[in-house]
Amino acid sequence: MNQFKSSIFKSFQLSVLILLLSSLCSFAKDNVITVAGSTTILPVSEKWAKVFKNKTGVIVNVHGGGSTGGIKATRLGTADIGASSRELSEGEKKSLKEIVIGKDALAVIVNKSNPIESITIDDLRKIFAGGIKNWKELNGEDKPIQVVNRESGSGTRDLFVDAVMKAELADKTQKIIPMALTSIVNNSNAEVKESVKLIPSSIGYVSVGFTDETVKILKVNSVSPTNENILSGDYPLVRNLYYLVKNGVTSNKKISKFISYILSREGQELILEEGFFPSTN
Amino acid sequence: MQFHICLEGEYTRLDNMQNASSLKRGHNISSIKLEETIALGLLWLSGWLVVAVLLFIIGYIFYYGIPEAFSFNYLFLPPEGGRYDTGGILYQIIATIYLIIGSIMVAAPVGISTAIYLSEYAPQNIVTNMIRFAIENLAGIPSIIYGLFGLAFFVVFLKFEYSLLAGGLAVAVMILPVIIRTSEEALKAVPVGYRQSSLALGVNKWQTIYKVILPSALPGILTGILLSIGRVIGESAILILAAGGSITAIPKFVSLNYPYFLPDSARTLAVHLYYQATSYDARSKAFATGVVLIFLVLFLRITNDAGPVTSGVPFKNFVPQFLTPTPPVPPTLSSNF
Amino acid sequence: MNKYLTQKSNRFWTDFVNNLMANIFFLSAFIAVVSLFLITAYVFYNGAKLFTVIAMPDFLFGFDWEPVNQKLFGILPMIVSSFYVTFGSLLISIPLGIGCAIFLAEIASQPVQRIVRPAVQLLAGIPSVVYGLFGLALVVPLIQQFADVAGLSILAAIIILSIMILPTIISISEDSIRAVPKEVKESSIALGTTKWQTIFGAVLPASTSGIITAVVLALGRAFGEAMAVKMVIGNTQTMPSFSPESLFGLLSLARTLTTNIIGDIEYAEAGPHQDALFATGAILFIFIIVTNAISYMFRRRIHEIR
Repeated sequence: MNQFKSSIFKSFQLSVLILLLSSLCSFAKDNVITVAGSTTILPVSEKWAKVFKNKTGVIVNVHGGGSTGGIKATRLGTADIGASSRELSEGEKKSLKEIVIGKDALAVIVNKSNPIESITIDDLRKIFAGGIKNWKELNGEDKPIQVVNRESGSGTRDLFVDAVMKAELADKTQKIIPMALTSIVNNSNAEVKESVKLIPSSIGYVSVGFTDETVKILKVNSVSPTNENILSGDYPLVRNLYYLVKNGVTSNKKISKFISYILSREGQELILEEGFFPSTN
Repeated sequence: MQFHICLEGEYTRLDNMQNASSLKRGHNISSIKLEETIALGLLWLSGWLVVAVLLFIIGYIFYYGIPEAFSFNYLFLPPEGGRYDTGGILYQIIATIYLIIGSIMVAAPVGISTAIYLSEYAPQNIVTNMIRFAIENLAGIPSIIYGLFGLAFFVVFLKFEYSLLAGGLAVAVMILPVIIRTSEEALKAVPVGYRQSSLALGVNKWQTIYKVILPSALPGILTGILLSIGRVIGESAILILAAGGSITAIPKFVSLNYPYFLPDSARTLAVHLYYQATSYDARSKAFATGVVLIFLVLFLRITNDAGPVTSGVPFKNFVPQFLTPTPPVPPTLSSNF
Repeated sequence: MNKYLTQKSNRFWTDFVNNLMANIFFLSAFIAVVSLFLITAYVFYNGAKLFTVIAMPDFLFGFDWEPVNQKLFGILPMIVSSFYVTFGSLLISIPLGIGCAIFLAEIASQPVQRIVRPAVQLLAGIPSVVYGLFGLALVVPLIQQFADVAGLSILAAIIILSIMILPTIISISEDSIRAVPKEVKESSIALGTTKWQTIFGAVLPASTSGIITAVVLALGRAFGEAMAVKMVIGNTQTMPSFSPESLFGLLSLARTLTTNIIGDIEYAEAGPHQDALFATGAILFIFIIVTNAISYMFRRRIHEIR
């Protein structure tokens, strides 16, 4: 029995040795780019990183952390590139430069069993603020609405707040209506989609790139998020996806190389494959 | 002997009385019998229910995960990311191995030394009590607190950034009490006679420990290490907070740049499972990763059971070993020499 | 002469190493103390920064958590949910766990023990994310179908947690039941009691301290579990509704202290939001220390009894 144990430990030792050797002849840090931020952009970044590594040998480390986290990380220098699915605020623009890498549209999704086909921005706002609580108020079934939301700090949520939750007051000023707290809170597009797929009375919003036939995409203001409508600008919930770099960093060769690869035709075709839209037509 | 005869007689008497149902107390006794049957039946049921729950969970995970889990492409190809988490889990496996090596390399020497101090040296004083109090509390802290600590101390304060090093050190602190407890028990199981005869030969304390006590306690200590490897494999909260989750490159073990060891952010299998189940459209792959994790845990258990038995009862407790009420330790001679 | 010298220097070196090792062992042992101190310091220091922004009562007794736009940091719903989930799971796993412990210690034959005990140990070894996946894929849809609600719910969390804490309850209870002196059982049986009467009337009372220790430790474990709960509870920021329609809160969505940290930490910007998460951790920490102290107390009592 002792022999058995010692043989296991021997193989452990052997594998440690092999791993050590293999990693000793590895790369120094100046061959690495770190990308951190939006979970929406994460899958595309991973794809880009993979292809870019095969082409140039430069390793791109991709982290999640949400848009806000990405902006923070870039500003602090923890990440070389921040990925953000929301625009920078004025203050943030002082130190960071944004590069549009693609476009994304938010799809409003409901469960397959829901008979509703279309929704207006006003109704959406009322639902998410907690004003409308039952589907029958929208001529649907008599079922309480279950809202599925994202974490505060998520770029997807920020865009939704920007596009939907802003209401014009009597004095023509805009005000953000706070969202009701009764919603399910999920951490990613896929999780929201899974929740909506599971729960018959639910409504949520995800990046168009994450939708599939398991959920129903609603028309917003009677426009459905098709490629044409998004590119023409008719669909209201469209946003740019950004990569952020520190001002002056673009002179860094490997980073500028990576970004020019992304903006190249090949890179933009990859983003299309993942369900997003190219930055230019 | 007489006692047992009495006992059997008692039961026979009960049986006879029940058979004679005309007896007035017959009803009473049958109700006792009924209660007995129900109670023992429930106990029996609860015992087997636990087994059933385990088999059901494992079966459920295996049913959905086996087809994917044992394909070469899944186990030995690097991950490609993307919405459906294409590619395999090679980097995650490597990251898991690195994390195990890293955290054990830190926790094992410290933990075993601590155990040696506690069982061989520690005098009865306030410092020893403090150490015991600290270990006691460390064992009870939930992993998310270790995660917050790792984030604040290793990632931010020591500027390790999100890395396996930061995660591994936080995990090492978490498994420290496990290693200390199991090693201490193993050391205490070494007969006092060994120590005395070694010392009687004029050998000093360190040599006694090194040549006599450690070798005979080694199997028990290894058990503790295997136990903690199991916990490292299953840990996820700490790593999400302190190790990040990049999967784009093969993690390095050493690096020429700060922080020199395990400098990369990486996902272990457990963390990857969490992301697969929630952040990717990859539920079936999550099951496959679950199968791999369960297999690792099973493998560790089998390795563990195959090892020599140290203290009478083999692997009395798998995880909560350090939590079990330890019997009072008779004042050993250890404090006297 | 020469021989004497080498012996002398050998003696010097062995003594030196002997002392050196003693010091190394002591320093190693002290690392545990340092670690505990650092953990406490960092969690509480980072958490305390929050209270420069908001008042402690607003944090502890606030109903709303909206850290980004409205700067609301109330965690009362999470404290309530944490307790709800913890005690709910104990309600299931205490009877089941103690039953199984008695079964193992008093009833099961050797071969049966050899099946059940590894099963319990394996249950403890399964990673919590696997439990979470199981809950997400099976328990949640089941609840959703039966009750026509979201499915993600306190009930789902309770079910998953009660399985996860079973091993803690079983193994510690079993140990303490086994530790009941033979004489106690024998004298009970000698009084003509049945097996169950002996277990219930003599064995269980004698092992109360150990069982309470087991329960308290399981409580701490349930309270601190993050990943599995996060995957099945929905992470809603509201107080569970204790209305009869939602089975007195069982079918409500909720957020516990631990899932608040796991859910928000990736998105939290340095500043009050992140500090609030550390403060949440600090509250959790305080509770865990209290449970640790209680279980320590009971363990001390066991030692005194024996």
